[in-house]
Amino acid sequence: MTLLIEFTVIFLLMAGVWLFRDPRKAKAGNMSAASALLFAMISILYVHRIVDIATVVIVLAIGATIGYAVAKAVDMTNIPAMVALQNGAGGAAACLVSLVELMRGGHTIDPVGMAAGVIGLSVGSLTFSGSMAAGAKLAGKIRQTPQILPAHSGLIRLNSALILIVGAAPFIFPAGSVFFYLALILLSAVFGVLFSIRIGGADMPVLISFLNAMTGLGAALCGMAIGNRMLIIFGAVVAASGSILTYLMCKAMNRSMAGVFTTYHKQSKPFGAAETEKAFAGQSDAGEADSPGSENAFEKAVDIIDDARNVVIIPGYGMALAKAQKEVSELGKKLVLLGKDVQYAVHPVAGRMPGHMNVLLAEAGVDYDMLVEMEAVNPDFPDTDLALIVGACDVVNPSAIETEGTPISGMPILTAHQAKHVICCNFDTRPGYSGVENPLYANENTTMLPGDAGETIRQLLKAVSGGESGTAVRDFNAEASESLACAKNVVIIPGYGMALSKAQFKVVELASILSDRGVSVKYAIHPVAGRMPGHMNVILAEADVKYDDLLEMDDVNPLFKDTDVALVVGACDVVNPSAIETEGTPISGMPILAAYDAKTIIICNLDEKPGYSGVSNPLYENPKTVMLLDDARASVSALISSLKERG
Amino acid sequence: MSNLILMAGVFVASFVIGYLLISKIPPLLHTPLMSMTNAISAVTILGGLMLFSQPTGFVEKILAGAAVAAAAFNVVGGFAITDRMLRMFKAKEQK
Repeated sequence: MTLLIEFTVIFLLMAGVWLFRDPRKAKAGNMSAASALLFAMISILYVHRIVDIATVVIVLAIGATIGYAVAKAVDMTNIPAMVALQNGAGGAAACLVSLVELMRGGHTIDPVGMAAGVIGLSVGSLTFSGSMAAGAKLAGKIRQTPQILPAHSGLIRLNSALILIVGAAPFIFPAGSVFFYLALILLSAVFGVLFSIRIGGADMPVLISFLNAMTGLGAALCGMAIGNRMLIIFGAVVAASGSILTYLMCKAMNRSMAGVFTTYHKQSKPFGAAETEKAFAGQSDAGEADSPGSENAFEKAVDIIDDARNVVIIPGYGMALAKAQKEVSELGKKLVLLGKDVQYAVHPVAGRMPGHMNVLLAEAGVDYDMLVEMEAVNPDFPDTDLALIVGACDVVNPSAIETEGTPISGMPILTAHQAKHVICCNFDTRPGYSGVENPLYANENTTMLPGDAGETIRQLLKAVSGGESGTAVRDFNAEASESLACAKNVVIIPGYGMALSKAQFKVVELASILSDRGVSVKYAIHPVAGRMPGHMNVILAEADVKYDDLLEMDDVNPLFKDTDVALVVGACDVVNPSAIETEGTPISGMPILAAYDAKTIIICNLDEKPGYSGVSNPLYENPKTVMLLDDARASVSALISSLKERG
Repeated sequence: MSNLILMAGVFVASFVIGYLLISKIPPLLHTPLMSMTNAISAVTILGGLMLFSQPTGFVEKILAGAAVAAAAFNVVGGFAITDRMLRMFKAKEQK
């Protein structure tokens, strides 16, 4: 009898997964899998006589009601966070069942079951905490950028070692096993958080798939502990699914799993002291030519800023005194909009308390992934077009490494003097707190803009705007509606930006207007567009797009040559031609949607900033490209109304 | 020992069958797939129910109860939201 039920359950489960291959039958597949679980529950209740039926009914009702209510209420844009939350609940359940089984088993449980239980305990706990951290990130409760603690890798290694020791302990000291179990749960929970917070942005699909696989593994281990085959089978299927998705996500980003989970930001190269001294010696020979603070200095500074491709801003305590952080942040944003690479170099002791500059800039709205530590930024200075110093003196004083016997000799500094140009917005040319004269001020590459930093930056902000935007005067809005009005076929490329601005309904409205005009409209879906596998498909399905209009990358790429308009909505890296044209970028080798083949490309992105990969997108510079830089929903709405005017 | 081999065998066989079936699922359905497998992973609810098949102490009852509630949240929520998602995937009607 039991065996018959078990076979039915397994058949229903496998049939459910089988049916999932066809979008028309997937709903039945889901029902099939759900009924498999229901049958399994009934069989358990039938075979094992439940002692405390009241408690069981109450907790079942509580969990089911909350689960159902949340599932009905959640907004589709929050699906990734919701999946993470449910995943966490699954991990918690696996952990708790293993714990109770281990506590109850005591000395009688066999070593195999005990080992499975201990591993299940650990896997369940780390899946729970890791999913919660990932969910908090996805829901925007904590910052989405990678959060890296000091010595993060060291902490993870220490944590792993402790988990192994505490995990092995109950086998050696059975007497204190409950204590070890609780310690193991705690340590594994810490591990989950440490593991998850380091991963951010577009790497989230890999994390969420991986956690999915881990819950499956946790359930299977839990099944080994209690000796139930169904748990093992169900868990294995989930683990397989999570593994496949993890692999596919990595492949689609051309990254290794180890790379996603361990690398964070750029590895800082070792500080080349000898090189620095040589560079400085060369400069001091040529120095003392320019007289600082001249009338033309301001115009010169504006020219330098306009010409610079990459800029490092170096804030110091003077910025805090002048309360210029807001202006600095505005200038930084403007430079980014002008297509420049902008970083903020923060010296560890800039300001009056540790991390002072970081706090000020964060308050002024600077993303903290633009804040770079000294060790990371120093090797970049020789290739930096402009170092913009705002109220910093000692921390950029080359005397610290050039001259012996000064109060600051031997202090590590930001080697701004190696940059091709230096603009200094300090109040005056007096020495800083150390009292050591700063030879940087007299350097021929340095342009001095003495005075109140806030005022100086405000003027720069006004002057800089003129330069680059004037060169190409194109009426992008008119071009966009013109090309859409003439198009015979249009391919829409959605990205995470569309999800962020909730532009999908407007996109669909635009698509239906185009269809009514006899235009063929398709959607091109990149496998990693969005924050989880198939994210765009769900969002578009919610907006009533028929799934046969959603084309996968391999199917749609050959069609772009004959496409009149490729409409990009909030996508960047997945249409970045650098991936296939340029070697050595983080995305090189990643398969992309060949939007550049289309006759016209309309881009509805918020800004021209590179995507998560940090590789700037040459598609934006393409003469065929029409840039509509605004909130995607606003841009698409504008396209809709302009098409309606044409009738 | 034979018990271990049996359980490992069941795991490997299920993993392989699952892998073969799931690798045919189109990227279109990856989110619902993840959501459904998420609900399936709440199979630990069976383990939670089995814990109630013998007399329990107070602490055990709390822990096992929490396990069943968490798993029920996961299983009901997971299948419900997958269903909701899949209902939105519509085929184009032939005009």
